[in-house]
Order: sequence, then C-alpha cells, then structure tokens
Amino acid sequence: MIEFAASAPPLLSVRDLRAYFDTNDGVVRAVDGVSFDVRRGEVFAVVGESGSGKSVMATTIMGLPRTVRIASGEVRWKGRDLLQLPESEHRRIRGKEIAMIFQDPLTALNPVHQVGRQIGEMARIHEGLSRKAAGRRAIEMLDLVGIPEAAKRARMYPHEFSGGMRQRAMIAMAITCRPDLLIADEPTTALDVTVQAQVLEVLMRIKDEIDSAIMLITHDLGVVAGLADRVMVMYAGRTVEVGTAPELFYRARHPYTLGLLASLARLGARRDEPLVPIPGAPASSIEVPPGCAFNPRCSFVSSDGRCAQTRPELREATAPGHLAACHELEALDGVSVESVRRAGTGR
Amino acid sequence: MFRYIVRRILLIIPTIFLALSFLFALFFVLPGDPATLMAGGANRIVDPGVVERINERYGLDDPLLVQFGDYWKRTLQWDLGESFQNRRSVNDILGDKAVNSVRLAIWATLIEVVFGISIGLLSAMRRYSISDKLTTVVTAVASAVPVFVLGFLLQYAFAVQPHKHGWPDWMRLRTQGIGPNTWTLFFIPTGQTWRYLVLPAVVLAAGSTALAARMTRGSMLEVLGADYMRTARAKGLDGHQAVWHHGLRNAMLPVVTLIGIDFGLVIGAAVLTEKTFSWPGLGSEIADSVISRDLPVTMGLTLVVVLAFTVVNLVVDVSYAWLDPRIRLGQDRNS
Repeated sequence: MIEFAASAPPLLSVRDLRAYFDTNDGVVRAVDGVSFDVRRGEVFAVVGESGSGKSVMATTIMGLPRTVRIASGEVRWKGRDLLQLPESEHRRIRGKEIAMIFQDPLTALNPVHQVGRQIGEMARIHEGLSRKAAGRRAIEMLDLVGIPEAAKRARMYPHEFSGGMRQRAMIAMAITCRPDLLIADEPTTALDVTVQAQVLEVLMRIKDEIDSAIMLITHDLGVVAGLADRVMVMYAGRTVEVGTAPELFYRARHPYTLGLLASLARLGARRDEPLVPIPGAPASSIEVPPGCAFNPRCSFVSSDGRCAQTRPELREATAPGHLAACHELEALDGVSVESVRRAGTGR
Repeated sequence: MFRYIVRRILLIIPTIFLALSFLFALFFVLPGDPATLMAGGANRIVDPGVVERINERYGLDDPLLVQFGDYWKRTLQWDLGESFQNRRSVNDILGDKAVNSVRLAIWATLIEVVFGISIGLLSAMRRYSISDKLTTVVTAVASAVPVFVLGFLLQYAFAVQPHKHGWPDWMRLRTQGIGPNTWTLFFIPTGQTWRYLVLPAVVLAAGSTALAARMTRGSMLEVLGADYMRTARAKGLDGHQAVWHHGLRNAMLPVVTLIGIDFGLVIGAAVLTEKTFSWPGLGSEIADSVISRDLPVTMGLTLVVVLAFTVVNLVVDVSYAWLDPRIRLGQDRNS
C-alpha cells in the first residue's frame, strides 16, 4: 500500500518553504526551509511543540496569513505552485480542494450564523448551490459526521453545540466539497480527552469515505500513533525527522524525536516512574543558532563542534524515506527510546 | 425570539413605574413649594390665602400617598397638568415640541447611522492608511468641539458667507427656527423646510457620528482578527465577502447599543443644538421649564422623554437579540 502510494505523484509537494514574520524584535523564522510530500489518500502527521512553525506552515499552504513573508520555496498542488497563483485562483482551491479544520471550533465558527448555514456556505461558494440545496447538503454532512437529528441541529447555533459536536460540525464543513486534502490543525487540542478519540475516529472514517488525504498537525505524538501513515517532526521551523509511522515510532533516530518519545506517559509504567522531559526551553525563532537548532538541548552533541556550527541536512536514516537531520546519525544507531528514558531519569 | 420580545415588553412596566415615581419625588424635592410657585413665583411675596386655595384645589395638602395615587390616575389618562406660568396645557405644549424633537432626532440618527458606520468600516478595512489617520483626527475633533462652537462655525460658513457674497439661493441654509414646518411621511421635509433642518441635524449628529465611527472601527478591527474570519477565508470567500457575510453582523453588536442610546439622547438632551438654532424642541422647553420652576411642564415633558427612551431601548434590545442568537436563546433556555 505504502509502496504503491510512493510511486504515484504526490498530491502536495512542499519544497524549501520559508515563511518569516518581520517584527520589531527581528525576523521570526516561523518556517525555515521545510520540504515534504503528501500523497493521495495518506494520513501525514506533522508533530512539533508550540512555536515549531507547524500552524504557520499549514496556514501558509492555505494562503491565509496576511502578514507572513514567504522568503523562498514552493507549494506544489497537483503540479501548480500555490504561492505563485493569483489570489482569485487560489481561492477556488481553498475549501474545495484543500480544506482546513481549526483548533478551537468555538471561535472558528461564526457565533451569529446557524451551523447549517455555515456548512452550506461551502457548497454555495464552490458549487453554486441554491440556499435550499445548500441547506440539504449541510444536513447530509452533519449526518455523515455522526451528529444525531441533523436536520434540527443544522438550525442551531455554535454555542448550542458541545465541544465535540462543534468540532464535528467543523469537520462537516471542511468535507462539504469533498476536498482532496484536509489540513487538521490540532483538531482535538481544545477537546476533552474522551471526546478527542471520538472526533479522531470520525475524521478517519470520513477520510476513507471521501477518499482524501489528511495532514494532521499536532503537538501530541500519542494522537498520531496508530492513525498516521507517515510522520514529520518539526523543531524551530525545520524538519528534524520524517518517515513512516512504524519507522519513526520504533526506529527513531533524531535526538529530539527520541526525547519526545521518551517523554510520553506510558500505560503500564510503574506508579513511581517519573515523566522524562526534554531539558531546556524551545528554541527562539528569532535568534536561530547557526548549527542545529536543537543542539543546546541535545545530549548527543558531537565533540568536534559541528552541531553548533553547521546546519545538518536531512539524510537517510534506517530505511528509504526515513530521513533525519542530525550530524550524529551513525553514532545514534542502536540508541533506543528506553535508553533515553533511563538516562533522563538517572536509573 | 417571540418569547424574548414578550418578556422584554413586560419589563417596560416596572421601568415606567419607577420612572414615574422618581418624577413624582422630583415634585417635592425640587426647591420651592408648588403652591407658592403657582401663586406667583418663588421671589415674590404671595398672599397666603391664595396659596391655601391653590393647595385645596390641587389637593396639595392631601397625604403623600393620595397625591401619588392621583398623579398616577391623571398620568394614565394622559392628563399631564397645566403650566404654572401660563396655564397652558402640558399636553398641548408637548404636541408641538415632541414632534419637532423627534423629527430632528430621526435625521440626526440617520446621519449617525449612515456616516458613522460607513466611515468606521472604511477606516477599519484600510487600517493605518492616510484616510484612516485622517478619520481618527477628525472624529476626535468632532467629539471634542462643543455643539455651540460647531453650530456657530457652520452657521457662518453655510449661511452668513453665502449671504454676504451673494451665492446662489440653493446654497444658502437657514440658521434660526423651523421655517414653514411642512413635512411628508412625518419626517421628510417639504418646501423650504430642509434649509432649516440641515444645520441643526448635522450639528446634533456630529458628536455621536464621530463616536459611532470610532466604535465601528474598533469593533470591526476586533472582528477582522477573529478566528471565524480566518475560517471564512479558508472556505474560499474573498476578503470583502468575508467582511460582508461574517464580519459585519458581529461588528455591529456594540454599535447598535450606542445608536439606541444616542437616539434617546438626541430627543431629550438636544438643548444646546435647539438653543443654537432656535429649534422648537423638547430639550430647550425642558431647560426653560426647569429654570422657571414650571414643574408640571418639567415633569410632563420628562415623562415623554422617559417613554421615548424606553421604547428605543426595547427596539435596541430586540435588534440586539436578532443580531446575536446567543442573547436570544440564552434567555430562552434559562427561563
């Protein structure tokens, strides 16, 4: 399945994307040279902590931020570079071919419009449906995401929905035009843990139903496990590691990924086992160190000073398609998550 | 929605009861014994016999509660008493003045709505442009300049100057009074009346228009940064569609409240404008009656202003609920 997908041309192909914000304090390098492909029908997860640039990257692909400066790169969508597209044509892709699900459905939905109307609007914009037909479509979509009594719910307002239902409504809105790619930016972060699982389940079911790819953006590796086909880990606006989910979870090579995996709370861990944090604070996107952005926090820094001097390029790690940006890849061969965890707890 | 409106209308009853009670208290709190005032005024020595007869005739010696009851009875029958000054019925005085006031208020509010909102919207959408900065300065000045200063300046520019330099007749505006006082559809001036209406309406609207513009700008800027506006663009709407379909209604919420309050204010508190242009309205009449201690007139006219405020507030609340479902439905569920 993965082999087949790999041979087909990618749906979305991002190359060396750099998205900067010019602020009074300096240039914020929110996205600093990211490249990746999303293939038709796959779940591509982007993992990183707050401020790692994943959301800016997503909204830049959508062409949403007004203040961002695209310093370089291309975002190829079905062969066309979205960054070069005139706004009017980019708009026709937005929502119809690439749709986005936002983090906080309460603020992302308009409080003064009925939910059904907001969903139907998508069809009205892109398919020119009448108000009536759009209303019927909205009910259909609400039904599809598993909202009971969809016809009644469609006439309600966002504040009358529970958090989980709002996010379902958000999903219903995004899939109205059966997009080829759904970008879900932290779709479950604002939700209760119990509801998170339901919403993710809906998302995955829908994906199969409308046959779209999903770019799942999250800070939570736990969410990604079991859902994603491929995972990209970002740090300080750069890709540090990318690979298939099994490769990444079982044969992670980058020290940051290893740290993330080691810091996950485990079921079945002993009660007194402490959580293992990654030492230090996330890198500033303004004063980016010249070498590897992670090197001040890394416990595998090479002795020859390369890590602080030169920026590591992505290299093949354990298998084709599994890339990591680290100077010490070879030395890390054989380092397991368990050993990082033990080192972190001092046991 | 229907239940909300009914509940809101029922709320008017206690509001009016309270307002009337305050007005009644006013009668006793204001300096000067009513009977003495009626007999000739506060500054002259009056015949005690006359005072006594007046007290008797108007029941001013009765216990307070009885008087309160009488006052209620009269007011509910829409008998507002008569002026101490000239025995003119307050109902008659009201008839002329209230209508003039409401006409002026309608035009001032129309100016506020049309210019305040559109200027504010343009300002917000072209934030930090030259026109935005200019608007900020002009609105700050407009809300700071006293009404009479602005009034005299405009009188000079649009009435005195044209007259001096013999400008064509259609460019000349009038500065005093209400002119022929002819109207169609209640508020649209006919004949020459518009020449008399323009300046007072503009002056009366100036301050509130500036405020409305500033508030619209601020509110719109806040809305433009809202998550749902980003959602709207992520759907594929262009900037203008997003503002029109998703931004406007949210941005108008605070502005509607402001405009409602302003409409009440320009009915009752347009004293300075009315004085400057000799516009025969309620505000100047109330001011006059307070100065001459003409209590029935003060009370009767104030009552009408209170009623106007109540009705306008009702309209504001209903439109607010119409604009924002969170208010309408939140109320329904909690009841």
